[in-house]
Amino acid sequence: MAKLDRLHLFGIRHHGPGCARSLVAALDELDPEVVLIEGPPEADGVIQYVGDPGMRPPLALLLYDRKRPGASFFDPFAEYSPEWQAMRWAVRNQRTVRFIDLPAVWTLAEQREGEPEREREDEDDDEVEVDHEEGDHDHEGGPGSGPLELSEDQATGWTIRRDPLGSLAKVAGHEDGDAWWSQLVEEQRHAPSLFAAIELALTVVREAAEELLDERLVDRLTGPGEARRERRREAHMRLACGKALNEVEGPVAAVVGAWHVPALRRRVRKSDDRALLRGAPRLKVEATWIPWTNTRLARGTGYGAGVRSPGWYAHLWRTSGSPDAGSEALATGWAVRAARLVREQGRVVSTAGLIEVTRLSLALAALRDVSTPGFDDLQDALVATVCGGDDRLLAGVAERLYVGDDVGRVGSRAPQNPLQVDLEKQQRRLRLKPTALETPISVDLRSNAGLAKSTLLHRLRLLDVPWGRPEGAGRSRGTFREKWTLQWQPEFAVALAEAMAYGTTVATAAAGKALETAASATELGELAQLVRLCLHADLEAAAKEVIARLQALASAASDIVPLMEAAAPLVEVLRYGEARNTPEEALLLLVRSLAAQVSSSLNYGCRQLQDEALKRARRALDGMDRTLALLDEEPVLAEWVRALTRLAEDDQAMPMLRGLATRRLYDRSLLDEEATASAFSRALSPSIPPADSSDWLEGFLAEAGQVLLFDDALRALIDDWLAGLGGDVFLELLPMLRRAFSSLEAAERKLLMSRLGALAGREVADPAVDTEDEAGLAAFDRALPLLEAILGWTGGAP
Amino acid sequence: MTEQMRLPSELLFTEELETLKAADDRVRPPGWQLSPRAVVTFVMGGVAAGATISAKYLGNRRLIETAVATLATDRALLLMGVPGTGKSWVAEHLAAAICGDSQRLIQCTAGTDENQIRYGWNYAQLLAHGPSEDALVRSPMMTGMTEGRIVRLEELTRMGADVQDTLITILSEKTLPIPELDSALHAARGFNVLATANNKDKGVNDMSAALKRRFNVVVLPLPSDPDEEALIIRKRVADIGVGLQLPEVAPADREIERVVTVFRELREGRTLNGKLALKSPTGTLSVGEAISVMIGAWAQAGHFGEGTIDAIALAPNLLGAIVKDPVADRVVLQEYLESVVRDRKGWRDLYNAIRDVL
Repeated sequence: MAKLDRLHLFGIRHHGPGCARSLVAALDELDPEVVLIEGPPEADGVIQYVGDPGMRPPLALLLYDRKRPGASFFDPFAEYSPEWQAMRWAVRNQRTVRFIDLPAVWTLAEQREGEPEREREDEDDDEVEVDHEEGDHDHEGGPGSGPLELSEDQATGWTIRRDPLGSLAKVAGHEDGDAWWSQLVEEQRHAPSLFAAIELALTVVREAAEELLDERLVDRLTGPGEARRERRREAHMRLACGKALNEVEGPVAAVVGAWHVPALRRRVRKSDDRALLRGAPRLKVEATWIPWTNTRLARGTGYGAGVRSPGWYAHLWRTSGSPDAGSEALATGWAVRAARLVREQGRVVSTAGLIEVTRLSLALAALRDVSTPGFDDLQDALVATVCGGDDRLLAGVAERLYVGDDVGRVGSRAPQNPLQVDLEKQQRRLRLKPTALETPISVDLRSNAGLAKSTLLHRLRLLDVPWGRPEGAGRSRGTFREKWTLQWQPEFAVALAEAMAYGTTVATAAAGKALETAASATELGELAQLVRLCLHADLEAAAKEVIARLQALASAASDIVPLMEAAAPLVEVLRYGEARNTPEEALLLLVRSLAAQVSSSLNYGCRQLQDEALKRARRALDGMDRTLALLDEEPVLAEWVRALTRLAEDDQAMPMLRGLATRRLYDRSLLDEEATASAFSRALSPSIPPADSSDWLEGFLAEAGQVLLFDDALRALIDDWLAGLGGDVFLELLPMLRRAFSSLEAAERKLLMSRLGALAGREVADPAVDTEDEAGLAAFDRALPLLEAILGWTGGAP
Repeated sequence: MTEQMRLPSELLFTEELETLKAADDRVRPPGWQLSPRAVVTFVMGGVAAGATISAKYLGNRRLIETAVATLATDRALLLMGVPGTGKSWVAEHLAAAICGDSQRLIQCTAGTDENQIRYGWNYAQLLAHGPSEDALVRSPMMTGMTEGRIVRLEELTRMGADVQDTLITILSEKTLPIPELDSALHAARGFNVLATANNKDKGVNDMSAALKRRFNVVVLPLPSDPDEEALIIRKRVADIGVGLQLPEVAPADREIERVVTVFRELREGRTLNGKLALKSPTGTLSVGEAISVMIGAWAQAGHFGEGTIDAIALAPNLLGAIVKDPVADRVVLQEYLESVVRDRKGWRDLYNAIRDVL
């Protein structure tokens, strides 16, 4: 038998359940001695583990540069990926199996430092997969689509090349190449001769494309890299096929993307192929299996039909594997799945309704001339029957139905990143399952399990693996509960590979990473946050070192605003950290010294600040005041109050901060009403520039809407001060009064208005009330419009 | 031209139906004169035996396929949608294509009672001879069941819920019991019910869950893009205008585009470019109403005007369509006029014309 006749090429589409089913049957029939698969050869060593019962797709091969784990790429497989099934077949039947695509070193070498890793899928737009970004298939009409002027023939060739399936579908009278292929190949049952048909079709298409469009033009259209890459890949695959044929006497099977089949059939001189592959980059590449998710299989394509819906493809695969697989079983199984999800939304779906789904989908399939109901048929049937025509109901469950929350699992035998192994061990121990869809959890820090969960999630956050996202204010606000939202992303595997540089367990790596971050940090606030994170992550030793670093940095700091910002998170830990191990001593010392440092120079630090810096200082001052109140340490607080008093009286400090300081003193009853009133009129004297007065008032009133409503004394104080103003002064002050009140909510202003009315002896809202003091009332009524103007409330239509 | 004011679908398109019938080599469900595929072709347009079949419904083919497949599986079909989305239009053509008769029709209103759904009595006969087949007054439903045809129920949800529920036995058992005669009428093959209903209107009665379960529901949406909407209006206006023998006028594509723009903007509460938020009037501003506006403007231009549909002919008709509530809608239109129409390039004439009639 001629050598090339022993080579059996199986052109497939990645992630196609129909292809996969037919491929397994074809391999059974052919019984090849060697199975070659399009994939990175560096991963040959880990193929053997696919037979491990612990391996559950979706999984991906992660290939990374050992020196720079950030340079990496994934090669994902679903259970229904033909490549996965080919690997499993070869391992099951103990045949030689090998990856034959271009080695990963080429790709990894191309990735520059810091460039985000890309999926191999994304680069493979020369495969038969439809290029979704391309969108329009109508290049014929517009030859000027590229910067090049293409003739009509060339434009057609280009269209075919970009989207071979779309072009085939068009010939068959379909608009959407992906849906067409799905309906024709993936959703139907085929004999193994399917591959001969695919090869024939793709050969014709590829020949047409190459005839219409010569190589040089392709280079210019795709950019030199892409076309050269494809030539290299095919050269490598051809050589690998030749090598396998030389090694064995029996048949050799090669499973490759359908587009490559014609190229592999071509006779090319070996020396030419080898020339293309000269100068391979030298890198040490590691390959490992990592869990993948359905969400990622569907990513970037949205869900709707075909490969867009991993949930549907998984259903197709499972149904077609059962012995009594038929159209009814397929349709009924899907309807039941959908119904279960819709019922979980609280809507009744009757069994009779499901029967109708099956019937209608079969009728639709017949009407559309296919033997088995497809994705679209079932979707239309579901909407028309159980959803009562309302497709929003289905949209509510779409993500879970069409995509699914499956996350793969790597078996225990397969070699893995030690960090990953450690993580999985803890995940099992804590019963935290990684899922692809968002899952909210709530942990009780008083229980050992709850604390351990929180600790693990915090440690992962330190490692840039934000598997859990802390939710809202429930976190560390004097509560023992923490709320998290969990969502596993496959990229975390890369972050874990990178984190190996810091340690081989989650705990040691997190500590190592924290120390490195601390060493390079220059912001006090950042360090304080890091201390808190370390303590939440139960890394006491690391926390202590970060605290020391913070101390050193703080003593050298001259600006008080960052110092104030750093204090808040630390005090929070001290106050609410009971549930965790806390180096209280060290923390307390640090906070005290921070407070002392701030207090001693508070008024100087509050001078000459502009815009953003002023706003930041105001926030920090406010935060510091609350923080120290929370800390509740007598000497510290006393020192702080003295600092506030100095600030309130410092003419050179920013008026807004002085106003705020005055207010805080008033709040603590350290300034009596009389003193406050005089501070008031002093700050708002005519001699003070109006902008300063207004700033002071704004600082004083900040967030005071409610206080003004309920604090009668304060209200009376402002009222008295206002009433005591001379006419001219009052008029001058009006604009800034207006501005100061602008921070109040509309409803608060309304309420304030009615309270002021009450002060004058009547309700504003109710003009029908009669009171004795008619004269006073008349005066108030006259003043009303002005008062309304000040408050910025034009209650024209109550 | 016939004397009949409006021909039903099966008479208007007799030729197309005959062509389809002749070319149809697929399996026909019992009682159907065409295969489901040919029915879809009749509604959506296409080619049969070399002849062009005109498109009756412009929109999503999958919806029509679902509707036809529903009827082919013996399930009753309910077409839902806001007023003026072509529910009755589709229903008529489906009935015409499936059984060659779109006129087995019951118009449901608040006054519809059970007798109009089932059967009534000829009281003279009843008194003279007692209950008998001859004394029965047959409803369109009963006739449709006997003949094995599609029975159309227009505006199903307008009749009372208790009357609606009369349909339950008919739909699930395909039987109409006549207890007075101790007998029952069993539907012939090919019988089915095709109902239409509004989902955004006042004065409708909710369907009971039991009845709802017996219908498959297809919602006909408003056209998704302005071009499609303009195309529908252009086509329907031409059809109706010819039917009404209106005086010939110049094509008014530009005015149609303007009507579509005005309707869409007011309906969606924002300008097409999405830059300006607008108030919406109380009416639905459906495609059907846009068609009436154009027909009205055509009649006005043809009989009283210069023979071209222009802003002057359009304005009073637009006003009538938009201002359904004399106070609130007038304000809406006025605001729209001042904030959008006035400054839009080339719309000055429309602005002035509407101002004149407002």
